[in-house]
Amino acid sequence: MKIARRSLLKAGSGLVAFAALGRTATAEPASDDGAARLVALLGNRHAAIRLGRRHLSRHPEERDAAQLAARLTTRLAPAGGPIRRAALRRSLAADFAAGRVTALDGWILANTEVDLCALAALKAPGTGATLSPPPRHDG
Amino acid sequence: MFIDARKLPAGTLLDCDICILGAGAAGITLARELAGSPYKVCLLESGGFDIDQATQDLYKGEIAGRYYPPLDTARLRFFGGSTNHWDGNCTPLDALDFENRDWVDYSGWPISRSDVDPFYARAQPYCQLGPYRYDPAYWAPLAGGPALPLPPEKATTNIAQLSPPTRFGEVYRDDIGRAANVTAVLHANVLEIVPRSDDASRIGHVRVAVLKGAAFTVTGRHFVLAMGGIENPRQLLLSNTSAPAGLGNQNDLVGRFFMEHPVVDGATFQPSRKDLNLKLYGETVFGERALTAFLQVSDAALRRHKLTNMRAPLDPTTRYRASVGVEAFDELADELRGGPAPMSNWLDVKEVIEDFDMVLEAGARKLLHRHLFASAEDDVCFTMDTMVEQTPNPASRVTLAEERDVFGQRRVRLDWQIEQKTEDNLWRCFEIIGAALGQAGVGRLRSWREHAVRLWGKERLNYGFHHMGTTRMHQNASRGVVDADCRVHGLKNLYVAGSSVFPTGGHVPPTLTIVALAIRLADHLKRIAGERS
Repeated sequence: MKIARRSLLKAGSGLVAFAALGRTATAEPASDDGAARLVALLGNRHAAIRLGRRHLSRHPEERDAAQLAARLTTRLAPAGGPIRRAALRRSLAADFAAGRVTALDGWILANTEVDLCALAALKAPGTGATLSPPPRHDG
Repeated sequence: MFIDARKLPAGTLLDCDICILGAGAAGITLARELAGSPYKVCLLESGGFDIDQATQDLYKGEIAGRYYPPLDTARLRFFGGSTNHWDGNCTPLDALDFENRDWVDYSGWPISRSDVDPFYARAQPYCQLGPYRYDPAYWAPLAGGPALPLPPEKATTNIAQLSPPTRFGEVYRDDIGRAANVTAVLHANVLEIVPRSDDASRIGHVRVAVLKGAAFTVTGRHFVLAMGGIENPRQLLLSNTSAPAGLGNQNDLVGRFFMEHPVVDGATFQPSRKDLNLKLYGETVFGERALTAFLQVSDAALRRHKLTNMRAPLDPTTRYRASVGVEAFDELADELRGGPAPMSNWLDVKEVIEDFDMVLEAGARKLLHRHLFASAEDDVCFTMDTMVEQTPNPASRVTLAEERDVFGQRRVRLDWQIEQKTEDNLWRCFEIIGAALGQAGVGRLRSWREHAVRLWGKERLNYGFHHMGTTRMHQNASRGVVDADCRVHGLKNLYVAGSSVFPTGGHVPPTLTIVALAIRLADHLKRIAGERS
């Protein structure tokens, strides 16, 4: 209970960043690298990385940064071009409206932001080795 | 007029048209509504004008099964009843609460919200509230902020009007005392409700005892049991001279379906931005009145997902106060302030130790200049101390214990049981509200579901002290103790007032509904008493 609450407080500021996108809606991600541009949408990367790691520990099959980035890009910029924060806001609202939500560490999150967290975790130093999905073992 | 039963001579016989047993919110409302009518009213109250330990001890009882606070602390036994410790939170039940919901076993009132609406409107001034308006748009200008733009297919905002709170015993004491047709008898403990010897379907009299005085009798044409959600079934069960199972208990329903409003600190809301206008959800004071707002799952979502409801207020908290270790430290400090009592809750000690850095931080911020730590003083998130609708459960019940009180009457035994689906509903409701908050772009909700066992356990669960359902209302005698007029099935002149008649409890405190139903019952009694005259 206690540890979880404390992580809430720390993770809380990160989640504020998700919903506070409107304040900087005109800003464009700076990097040319697709995954990095997506991760740049996050306000508090530390919190996102923590949540992303939690998600990946439960869903190791999603340890594929390229696939996550492709999925996010398709959602956020289906016609190509820059990824705008407004598109992220719309995607989050659409996820919530359609019930595409995930309870992660208790947080009720849109699937898009869970993907962003997972991507941030995979791009974080120390988790680079897990950019590719783990090998599958038959039997 | 008030009479002290301790001064009545032995063998006294009081006669009246309408005898009300119990002077809490329901009993006092009934008496006040009947004041000035052509009917002679007798209002019997066990206590006096102030709390008295010997009288309060009559409320002691046995707890079986699930933990519940001691029964002599969960209610008050003196003039005004439990309104003497009521916190004043008022919201009418939703229209859906009255409906027969096919996904909620035993749901469905024989009356609708529209039937009760006129009486809710009349109940407002009783509770010293504002106009009968609970739509957020009406109050938003006064509060200085709108309701959150939640998608109506998921969640909605509801209003709670805050009574001062009205201490019925103090506020209406003079009215009762002045009423020429009302005799309020204090220190009068009803022992038994006794049917007439020539007609078992009619109550003839009640036997009354006094702690330091002589027993006496009250006869009447109509009787209303208004002793509260635990004492009402006890009194019916104790009244077994002519009906061995107790009055109205021919179908073994008296005392069953006991419901509370569990209060679970089950989620936290993190707003998306600091300047989000949440004034409506704080306390808005207007004159001597106040109101606040809370979140709940919308009617549409409840129907779609087949859920029972919950009421989630937003209580602001600072970053460091939202530490469990700090909470535990505060609780321990409270214990120690009360004297050198042994620390009863070692869990608190453990939490303080494990969360010691946060406790130190909080201490430092209190001791040092606050301007150095301005951000820590900001309200950064909101806890949701959530009141939960309990699903009706016949196994959750009030019965008679073997132990007896000073009058030789069997004490009460409470076996409160909560079905797993009540808990499951809560977590599902949080998911829906969380999605609504996210969809509206106003923030995120964190549910504490992973700590469910502890949150619903003895240490963390809180209680409304709302005792409901034990003499439930249903048109069919095989499914309810009272009918739509609150008359006990099988008895022509015995009625029940109070939250014990609620077939379902909703997710809001019951006092406003208790008062509304008491006014409705008073109108009914005036009507039928007039017909007989």
